Amino acid sequence: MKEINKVMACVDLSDYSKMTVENTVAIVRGLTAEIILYNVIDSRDIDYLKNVGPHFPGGFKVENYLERVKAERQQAIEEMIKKHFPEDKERMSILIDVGVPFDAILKTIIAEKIDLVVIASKGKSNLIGTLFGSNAEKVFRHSTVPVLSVRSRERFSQKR
Amino acid sequence: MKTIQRIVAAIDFSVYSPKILESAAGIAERNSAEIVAVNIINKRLFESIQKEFDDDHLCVFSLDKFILDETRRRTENLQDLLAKWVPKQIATRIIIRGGVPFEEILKVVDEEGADLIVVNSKGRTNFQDYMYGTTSEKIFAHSPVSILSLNLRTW
Repeated sequence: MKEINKVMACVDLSDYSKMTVENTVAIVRGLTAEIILYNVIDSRDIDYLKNVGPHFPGGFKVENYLERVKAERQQAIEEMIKKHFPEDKERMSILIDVGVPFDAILKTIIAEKIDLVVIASKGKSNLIGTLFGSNAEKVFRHSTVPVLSVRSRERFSQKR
Repeated sequence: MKTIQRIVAAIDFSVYSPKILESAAGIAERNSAEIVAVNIINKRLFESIQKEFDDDHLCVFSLDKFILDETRRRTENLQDLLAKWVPKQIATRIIIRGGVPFEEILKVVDEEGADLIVVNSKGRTNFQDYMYGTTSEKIFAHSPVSILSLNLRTW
């Protein structure tokens, strides 16, 4: 691996996110790399809301929803940094996009010139018995840069 | 805070192996971890040789001797690689075994209590159209610990 200057940690604010960031910090320990905490608002939710929005009493604005969700997630990630990773606060930045998660992640890798992607082996789609997330697998398969797939023994053995 | 203490590097002597050792060494150095370099003698290889010899009744094939020789040869190669790509101050060990590659690698991970596996997304099976090596894919599916996949490609 060449120099690692920019690392992207994919946080979906699931139970696995803290572990993901922990691993990111361990990997870049001793380096001056920048860490981007990346979160994607699934466009599936947006499409759904666009469909049902007009039927809401009093109407429903997708733009307002997006803004609200973005602010909420920004705050949740900031809180996580404050609580668990205060010493790495300076080099962390937060980026939130809208799109299909794996696609958005792959696009951002190129746009932001990321050197390493860190992603948990599963996240939101937390079906018992599903070993790894569909988005994690797609990123793992199609990424052009190194991928760190995060998991832990304790969590992994809980699967049944 | 999580620390990395032991790193398993899956080495198959393909063109990507030096890079795997290099990045494992970087992480090991910064976390003062140990590197366990693992190479697996594919079961398919010695089974096919065994079969060839069985068909030919004139000579006898000694599987034990073959594995012994092969282990010695690979240990030497791996030592050369380690000397070349891993700084001296990092603790390294070599494990060579026979079996199905992904199963044996995962067994080593369990036995050693490793915290991280470093693989490349491809190794020896070098079809242009296949993005993924079958072994690394299976490691991805079954590993209980984190994996660093380098995704290096030669084209």
